[in-house]
Amino acid sequence: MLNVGIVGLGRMGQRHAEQLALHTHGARLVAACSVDAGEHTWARERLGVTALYDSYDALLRDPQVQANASKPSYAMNDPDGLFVRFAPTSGGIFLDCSVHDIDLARWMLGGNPKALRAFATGTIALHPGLADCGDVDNGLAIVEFEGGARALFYASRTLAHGHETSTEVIGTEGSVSVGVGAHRDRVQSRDAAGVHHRVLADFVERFAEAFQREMAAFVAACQGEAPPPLMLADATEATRIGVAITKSLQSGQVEAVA
Amino acid sequence: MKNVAVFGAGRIGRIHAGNVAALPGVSLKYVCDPVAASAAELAAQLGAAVSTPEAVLADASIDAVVIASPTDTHSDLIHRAAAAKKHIFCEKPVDLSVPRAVECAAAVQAAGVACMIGFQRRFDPTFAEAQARLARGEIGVPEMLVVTSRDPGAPPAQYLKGSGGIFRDMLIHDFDIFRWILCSDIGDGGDAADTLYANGSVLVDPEIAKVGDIDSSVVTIRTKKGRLCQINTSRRAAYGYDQRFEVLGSKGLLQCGNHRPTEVVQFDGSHVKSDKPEHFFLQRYREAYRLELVHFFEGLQSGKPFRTTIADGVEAQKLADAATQSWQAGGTVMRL
Repeated sequence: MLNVGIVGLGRMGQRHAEQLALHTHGARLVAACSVDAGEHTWARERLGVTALYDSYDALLRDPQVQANASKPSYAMNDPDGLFVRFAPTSGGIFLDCSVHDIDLARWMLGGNPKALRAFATGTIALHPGLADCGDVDNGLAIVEFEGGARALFYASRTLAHGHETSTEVIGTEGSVSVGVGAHRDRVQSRDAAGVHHRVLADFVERFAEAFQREMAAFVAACQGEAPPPLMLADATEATRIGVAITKSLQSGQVEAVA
Repeated sequence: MKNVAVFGAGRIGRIHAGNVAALPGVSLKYVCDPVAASAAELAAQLGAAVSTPEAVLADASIDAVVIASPTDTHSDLIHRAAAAKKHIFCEKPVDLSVPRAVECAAAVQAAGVACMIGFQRRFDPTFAEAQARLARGEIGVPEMLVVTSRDPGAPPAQYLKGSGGIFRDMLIHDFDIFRWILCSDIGDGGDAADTLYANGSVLVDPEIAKVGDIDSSVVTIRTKKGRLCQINTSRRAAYGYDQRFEVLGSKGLLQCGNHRPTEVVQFDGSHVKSDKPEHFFLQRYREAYRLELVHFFEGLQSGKPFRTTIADGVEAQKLADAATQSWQAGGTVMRL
């Protein structure tokens, strides 16, 4: 049994905490740290966590903790525009949202090819407050990789219909597409207005199972049962590409991935 | 915190126990199974203890039991759990005999405990969404229901021998879908089956004929209001577990499709390919099994009626009996 402490109990932290406490075999959530007293209450009452700390240092001093799960604070695709408040610290739409897609591109293109250059543009469709920090609510980027592969990224905070994460990989003998249409379930209705299906509401719904599998892989890696499928270097590389894209959005020029 | 015991550590018992253990505010305390090794393995995996029905029912800290043991043990366990004032979640069917199922319903009512029957299909996100839209009147008044229910492969003939036959073992779920979709009161006073016709064949495995059962069937039901339902089932579908229905209403149509393991679509020189349906019920209804237990514990908390009561179990059983008789009589129309 692996004893895990969680750093941060915000929206994402609570998600991971529930995964660890309730859905992950071989792991036990034993401690948490957060500066918010309400979040302490949540962890105590919902998940039965008793070792609650105000600081990361205090959590690290707890001898029962063997591993830490943490995620940088992070603004969400939010129809109410609450993300605008977080925008100044989010790193911008590409580092906040597209960083996942950048990681996916390196993985899908095979062998994590080296990124060479990036170009980005964007627009503010609905949230003028973003202009103050040089961010946009709809962004487009093209990244060139060594060997000829190219990736096109589109990130939006303003999709009217819900959360749609879709991917298309185009190869010489065919193409593969995933998630087009953001189907929430398998109901289709037809009436005088057309043919309809419901869509996924948010990333929590879209990636519920992925979060579960991610935590299981983390625990397996801590226990030495399997190598971690994703290294810190992968995250660093995605950030490096995201930084070049963000620089291009601001300069309006093609930027080298430094 | 609600303390729970699970009876049965077989295929479905493992699913229910895992779901109970993963619910906030609920604690899985005991697992019981005559096969000691199965009980021990499951209990160890989920941090519970091994026990016996006698000890569980005598334990005052236990609030509810989940009955996931073989069908022929259900009615005895329901009676004993009700007498011990434990709330009950019971896998379908209540009992293969309608009179015994009716007695169970009476015992539960007399004891004043809550009892929910595991018709998990009503909790499948796709089916539940279709029913919700129907109830909101989005396609008007329901008129016709077509249910397709096909297993990927037939179980061994030996299993079928004790199953009660295809109508009680397999179509019991489809009869519940019929009642839920065409007979629920959606502001129209509800409806009920009036006549039923069933027929069937052995097309998959001749061994199934030897135990007196069939592997392919069709059922037609007409309701008191004249609504029509067709159910077609097979014990074999080469392409996986096929679970669909469509309901035609006065203003439109609702179609429920199969779930697939992934949503990858591949386009190449010869085909456009997507995954075949989820392999079988444990995969297709994984979320439904979880959501039905969420509903059970929410119901215990709120005191609101369950979506699938023991009365629903009895009514589906009556339709299964009528279908069995109709088929055995060579396709006689039964009046309900």
